[in-house]
This record gives sequence, C-alpha cells and structure tokens, in this order.
Amino acid sequence: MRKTIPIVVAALAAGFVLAALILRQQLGGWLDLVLNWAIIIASAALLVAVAALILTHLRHIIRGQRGFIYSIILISAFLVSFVGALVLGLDNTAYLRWVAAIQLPLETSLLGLAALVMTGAALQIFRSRGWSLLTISFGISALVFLVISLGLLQALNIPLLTTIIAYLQRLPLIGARGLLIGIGIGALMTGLRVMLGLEKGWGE
Amino acid sequence: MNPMDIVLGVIGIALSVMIFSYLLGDNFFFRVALYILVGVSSGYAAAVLVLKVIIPRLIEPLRESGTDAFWLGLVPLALCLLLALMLVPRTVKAGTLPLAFLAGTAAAIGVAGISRGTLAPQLLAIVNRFSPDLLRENAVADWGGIVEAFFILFGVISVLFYFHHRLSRRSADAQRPLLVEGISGVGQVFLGISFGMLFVGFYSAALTALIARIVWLKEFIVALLAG
Amino acid sequence: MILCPHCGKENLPVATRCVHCGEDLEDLFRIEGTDPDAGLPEEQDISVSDLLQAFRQEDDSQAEKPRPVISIGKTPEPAASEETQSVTPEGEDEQTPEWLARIRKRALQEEDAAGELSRKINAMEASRAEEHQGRVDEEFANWIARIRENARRENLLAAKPAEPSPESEEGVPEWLRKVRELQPQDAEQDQPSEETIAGFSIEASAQEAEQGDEPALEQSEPAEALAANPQEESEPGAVPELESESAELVLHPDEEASPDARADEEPSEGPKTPELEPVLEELGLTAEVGALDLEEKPSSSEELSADLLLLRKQKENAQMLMTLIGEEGKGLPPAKTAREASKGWYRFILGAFLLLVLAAVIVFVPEARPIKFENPTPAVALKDALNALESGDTVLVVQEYQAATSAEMEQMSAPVLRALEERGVKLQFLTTHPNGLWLSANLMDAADIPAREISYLAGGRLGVLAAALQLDESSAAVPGALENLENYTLILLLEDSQADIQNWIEQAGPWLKAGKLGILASSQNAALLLPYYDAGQLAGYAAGTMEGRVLADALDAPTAGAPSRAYQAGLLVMIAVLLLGMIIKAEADSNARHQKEPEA
Repeated sequence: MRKTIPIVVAALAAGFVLAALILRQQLGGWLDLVLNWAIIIASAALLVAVAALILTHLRHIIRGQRGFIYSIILISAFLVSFVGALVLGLDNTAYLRWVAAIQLPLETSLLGLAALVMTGAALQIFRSRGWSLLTISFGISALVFLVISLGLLQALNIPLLTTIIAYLQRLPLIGARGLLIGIGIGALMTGLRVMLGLEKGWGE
Repeated sequence: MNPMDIVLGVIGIALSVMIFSYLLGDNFFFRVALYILVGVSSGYAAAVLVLKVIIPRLIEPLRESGTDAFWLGLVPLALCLLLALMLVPRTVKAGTLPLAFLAGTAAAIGVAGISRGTLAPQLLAIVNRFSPDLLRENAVADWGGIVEAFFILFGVISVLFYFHHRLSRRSADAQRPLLVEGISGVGQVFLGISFGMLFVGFYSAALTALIARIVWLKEFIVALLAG
Repeated sequence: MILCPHCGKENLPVATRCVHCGEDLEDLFRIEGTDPDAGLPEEQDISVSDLLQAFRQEDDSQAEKPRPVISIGKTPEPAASEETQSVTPEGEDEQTPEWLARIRKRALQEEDAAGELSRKINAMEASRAEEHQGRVDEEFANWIARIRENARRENLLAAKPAEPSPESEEGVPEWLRKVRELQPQDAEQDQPSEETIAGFSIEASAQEAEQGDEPALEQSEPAEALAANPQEESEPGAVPELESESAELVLHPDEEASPDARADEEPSEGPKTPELEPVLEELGLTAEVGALDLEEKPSSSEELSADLLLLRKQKENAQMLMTLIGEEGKGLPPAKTAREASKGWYRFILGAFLLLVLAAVIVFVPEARPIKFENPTPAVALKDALNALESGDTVLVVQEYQAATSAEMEQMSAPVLRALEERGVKLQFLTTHPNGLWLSANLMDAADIPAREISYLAGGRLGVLAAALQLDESSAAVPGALENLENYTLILLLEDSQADIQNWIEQAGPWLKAGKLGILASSQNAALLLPYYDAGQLAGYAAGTMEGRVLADALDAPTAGAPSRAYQAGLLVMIAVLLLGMIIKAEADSNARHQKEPEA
C-alpha cells in the first residue's frame, strides 16, 4: 500500500496535467495552480538538495574525515553568499559585484580549461577509439568545420565555394535530426513509463 | 582603478590561476577553487529560491488566513515539509509523495512537449519534403529537391538504425546481416558528421571563453600598470 | 593468496580471474590425471543453476555481495562478481556451504554498519543488479555450455582416459601416488614456505613432434584444474573441482589405451625416460617434475618421470608462478602511475602551447578588420526578423546563459540589443536562471542600454509552460511583469544550453504562432538548432561569435573588439593536433602491421 500511493499520485498528477493541456478552457485555472505547486515543490527540492550538501560536508568536518578542509571552504563560501543575499538583498550592487567577481572568473576559466583539455584529448581520440566509420567521419567532419569556422574561405567570396560551404553546413542536419528523434523517443518512453507507474522516477 | 576593482581583479587572477593549475594534474588549489565555486553558486541560488519563490509564493499566501490562497497554500506547504523530512535519515521516505507528484507532472509536461515540440515537427519535416508542391518548379520536377528529400529520409533512418542495432549488438555477438551492417554504417557516418560539428562548436565556445580570460587579464594588467 | 601477474594484487588461491583487473590468471593451476568422474563425486551434485540460485538468494538479502564463480580455466567473459571464491562441494549439498555462511555473516555485519545511505545505494544497486542478473546468468550459462562443448569436442579427438589404477582405491589419486613415488624424500622435506604445484597438465600438440624423440602425449577427458596447494595438504576431497576449457590430462604412457589416439604421427608405445631427457632439458625441467620446486628455476633434468611432461607454455606458466610466489609478501607495485604521469605531461605541454599561442597572438598580432561575408541561411533569417521590428514593438529578451559563456554571448547579443534599442524597440528582460539576475545587468552594461527590471521565471520548463499558457496576468506561476507571450512581437532567446532551448521550443513553441522565437546561441548549439529551423519552428538563429559579428554588421551595429585572430589561431592549433593524432595512429598501425608480418 505504501509503495502504491506514490505511483497513484504520480499517475493522477500526470493524467490531470495531460487532460488540462487538452481541455484548456475548462481546466486552465487548475492547471495554473498545479504548475504553481510544482514550481514551489521543485524549488523546495533544490533547497533540500543544497541543505543535504551542506549537512554532508558538516559531517565531514565533525568527523574529521580526509579532505575536511575542502568542506570548511565550501561551507564558508556558502554561508557568506547565502547570508549576504538575505541581509543585503539580491539587488545590492556590492553583493552582486562580489558574486560576479567569484563566479565569472571561475566559470570562464573552467570552460577555458575545457579547451586546453580538448586539445590534449584530440591527440588521443584515434589512438583510443581506433579507426571506425564513426571516428573517421568524425575526424574529417571536425577538420572541415574547423576550416569553415576560420572564415577565410567565406571571405574569398567565390560563389561556388560559398555554395559548397552552405551545403556542408547543412549536412549535420541529418545526424542531428536523427539524434533529436532518437532522444525524443527515449524521453517519451520514459515519461510514459513514469505516468503508467512502470518506472519510479522519484528515486525509490 | 579604485581599490575594490583591484582587489576583485586580484581575486579573479588568483582563481583563474588555480583553475588552470589543473594542467599539472589534480591538486589542492584546483579543488579549493572548485569548492569555492560550488559554495558561492549554491549559496546564491539558494538565496534566489528563498527570496524569489518560497517567500512570495509559499509564505506570503499563508499570512492571509481564511482566504482561498491560504487554504490552497497549505497543500504545497505540507508537501514541502515532507520534502524537508528527507534530511533526516529515518524519515527519508517521507519525501516520496511530493517527489512522485513532481515526477508525474514533469513526465506529463515532457510527454506533451516532446511529442508536439520535437517529434511531430521533425517527422513532418521529413515527410513534407515529399510534398508535390515542393518537388515541382514550374511543372518541372525539382530533382535537387527530390534527391535531397530521399537523402534526408534515408539518413535519418540509417541513424535510427545505428542506435537500435548498436544496443542489440552489445547483447549478442552474432553476425548481423550485411544490409543491417551497411545501413548502420551509413548512420555512423551521418552521426560522425554531426558529432564533428558538435565538437567544433563546443571547442569554439571554450576557446572564446579562454580568449576572453586572457584578454581580461591583459587589460587588467595594463590598467594596473597605467594606474 | 596468489598474486595476479597483470596488476600484482592478491587473489584467492582458487581464482582463475583477477578480481581487481579482470585479467585471466591463466592456466597456472592445472593438475593432470584427474578424471571428473573419479574421486570427486560432489562436483556433479551441484550444478551451475543451483549455485546461481544460491547466489541470487544471497543477492536478495544484500545487493553488494561477492558472487562466487566456479573458477574455470580460461574465462572468456569477465566475471560478474568482485571476488571469486572457489567452490568446495565436499558433500555438503544439503548444508549451507562454509563459504556461503561466511558471506552471509559478513553481509549481516556489513549491513549493520552500512547506514541508511549505503542501504539506499545498495537497494538501488540491487535493483540495477537484478536487471543485469538475467542477462549475466544467460551469458554465464552459454559460456559454461561452450566450455563443455569444447571439452567434449576435444574428448572426441583424445584418447580414452586412463583407467583408475588399483592404487587409487584408497582414495589417493593416481597422479598423486605417482608423484609421491617419484619423490618420497622430497615430500618429507618440503618446506612450509614452499608452494608446490601438485601437477601440470599437458597438451598434445604438433610442436611436441617437432622436438624429436618425444613421447606421444595423450589427452583424456577434461581435466580438472586444481588450486595450488602444498602437496602435504592436498587431498582429493579438499580440492575444488573445476572444469577446464582445454582437455588436458597426462597419461601414463605405460597404461595408455591406444596408440591411435596419439597426436604424434610416430607411433611409439610410450615415452621412455632416456627419450624424455633431451626434451625436458630443453624445457628446463628438473627430474622431480611431480612437484616442481618453484623457488628455484628448473635447471636441468636429472631423473625424469616418464609420466609427467610439460609443454613450453606450461613451463612459462610455471616460471611465472614461481616469480609470483617469490614476490609474495613484497610490496605491490604501483599500478598505472606511469601511464597517468605521461598523460599529465602531454596534456600540460599541449595546454601550455595553446595558451602561449593565444597570448602571443593577443599581445603581438594586430586585430584584423571584420570579415564581410554572407551568413548561413538561419542567421540571415534572423537578421530579416530583427530588421522587420519597428519602433513600439516589444521584444522579450530571455537570458538563459551561464557565466562561463557570458563573454561569447555578450559579444553576440550586445550589438543586436543596442541596435534594437536605438530603433525604439521596447526590450523586456526575463531570466530563468538565478545567475541571470546579475548576468542580465552585465549584458545591459555591455550593450550600453539603460538598466531595467529583470523578471525571474522559476521552475524551468514548468515555468515556461505556465508562461506560454497564461491567458491573463493573474497567473500565480508567472512573474507579474510578464505579459501573455503572444503579445510580444519577437521572443529573443539568448541560450547556451540545448536543454533550455528545447524547453522553449517544446513547451512554448506549440502554443505560439510560427516565427515568434529567435535565438542567439553559443556555437556549441549550432548543430542541434539546425533541425528546428529546418522544421520551421524558429524565426532564425545565429550561433557563435563569427555569425554574431556578421549579423551585427548586417544590422549596422558596431561590434565589440573581439579578437578574431586569436580565435583563428586557436582553431589552427586544433586542426594541427587532430591531423597529428591521425598521423600518429596511422603510423602506430603501420608499425604494428610490419611487426606482425615477419612473425607470420
């Protein structure tokens, strides 16, 4: 019984949302209410996740586990950021500058680091994956699009070259469409399974 | 430059160097930088959620007792309290109910959105290419369009073939028919082309970020030296 | 415990596959002369399915449990369990085997210490393990069937097995009796630290015939590989019974059944000691071949048993085992550190090279004039949609990128927003990310437009759907400042995430008229935006700084000074690295092919 209630709740919620999307005129108001509840619960779930993260790191510190110094750093940064927003307000310029001064260099540097690591990985791709249709087509395609991204060929303004480049830029359409359809079908099946109670998408 | 800008600039340089130290391998400074990022971003996000969602949408309606908003607000309040009980190890399962509600809602929205927003339009885009209006120009067959339509249809089918038979190949090492191998091979080629473009796209974005960091560093040093 | 020759970590004595690295421990332990039907009747009482059932019952109680595997010669597929334990069916069919009891006891202890989180993890893994269970069981059964089939096939080619000699009626196997006969004194003097292999199996092969006066080796029924146990302790009942892939059994040539079954073309009644000597000398075996002294390499053959012969391969195995036993107790060599160190160095070198190139170009190379060329069709379509906007039109600018891509997105978006602002178009800002609140402010600074309120739409796709469905402004799920989406002339999405793009296209797109959505995206999204534009779901899009720059030119908006030369230099470095990677791989393949050719 205890295991059935969540399945029933999930199925009922899903069924109601689908019905409301179809019968918008009749159920539009209720749908808005349910969506509002879902947004609040989703936000609360995120807050619970953050709280769980903090509690985990607190436990690391209390038990003196290996790497607790990192936990101290994380909790300190969290407290300064969280309490600062509550006290100063989200619109406070000084607070936003401080957040930007920390997040912007870190996130930008992380993404920049990805470029450096990708350069190293590009050397290893063929050694680790070997030669196959996928890797060969990937390699050639990457080289072609890198050359196109330079912009030098387009700058020549040769009509035939421009036409060829336009066709090449449309070529990934096929693979991308296949990817989207494949992923879409997979996500559709997963959603249907959750709606029908065949899959428990809430971590049980 | 005012002192605050200099301090923040120096902090930015230090954090950037700590991140790039990863090139030498995973080390203490890189991890410290990561943990700082996680702490600051989670603290800021939590503050935004509390100030922009929880307080105005959950707490505020409950202040007006007796109103419809009050009674309706009790439902999300109860569900949020059940979620909060997940923090206690003994009552972890209390959060199953609100999560189930969330999962059901998200699943329905996902199913409706994917079918109307992605699957249907994408499949129609393949089929519509065979429309007589598109394949005819001034009562003459547009062979370029016809070839392109078949090319796209065959390409998408081959990609889906590859996905399907890649999974079945993993479970059994049996030899597949030549036709299946051939079509899967074509699918691999198309996928490889798309992956190549994705790779270049991601590298471009990362390269732009890296260049932006270097440019900022250069401008900061120049401004610092200029006084 | 035995040490794995590949990773050097410890394994149980009867394991045939290392539990750490998954590599075969090879035929290190194989005893000749063992008949599956003789002396070890318990093996037949326990079938694979019974064992698997016992394991499943065990797995139900605890997700993480070492799954005992019948250690069998060469195992083609990796074992499912992390530990392999030998099966010792010593007539205990009806009682719980000792190993099972130990496992259950340990499971109980572990479960008590696990705690909730571990239990949850265990439960999750158990449910996942169950899914794999059937597949693994099926593959395991297929594998066992294949091994049996191979063994049966070899039996057909092999001679009949040796008849159990009268001596074995006391319960001592024939091979053990012969070993003891060979070395009655050595058995007494065996040191406890010395591990000896009870015997070796011998394969019949054409190579033996090439070696000259070699006795014919005959094969019998599939031999049972036995664990290496000290000879004093070896008793038939205590040894786990295993099936081996290759049927190997040493026959005593004096008792061989038929000369026809010999692999050797030269018929001979059996190996005689003098004929064996040169062979064994070449193989480097000592006379006391029944119990090989593994602490020293076998130097020369003195007294040789006519019965026991070793092939070169088995000799190599024996030497490897000797080495392992010799290193027993010593510190384990660090695994894979050299590989990681080298990996770190080349990553550092390449990364430093790229950094240097970019820094040098930024500092020393003057910036080039923007390249004038025609954008791809989607960007041209977006340009047309933006040019169609007039004064008084309202554009909803949805900021959904992260701080990491803010540089690229600001380069692309700032000129466009500035151009729209100058034209008199009303811009309203919305964000669905917490960071968007301050990133939007930065964007407005970069675009040099007056700061304005930024609305926050919470809930991700839930919020987008609520915004798309709202018929009036009284929706509780949507910020008050946000109007009905149909009221906006254009919804301009500033995106760096495919998930966010799909949220808007899937949740809001179906409820809006065609041509409402325009996207300025990071270059990483270019590939997956193409199908949506081709399907007519977007008014247009531009992805990447190059297209953004051309778009800004088309709108007559001055662009920020983004260094394109450094960007081109970075692309050139990647082109060079990719080509180098291909060349290195091709060369490695060529070298490998050349190495194989002389051997062939």
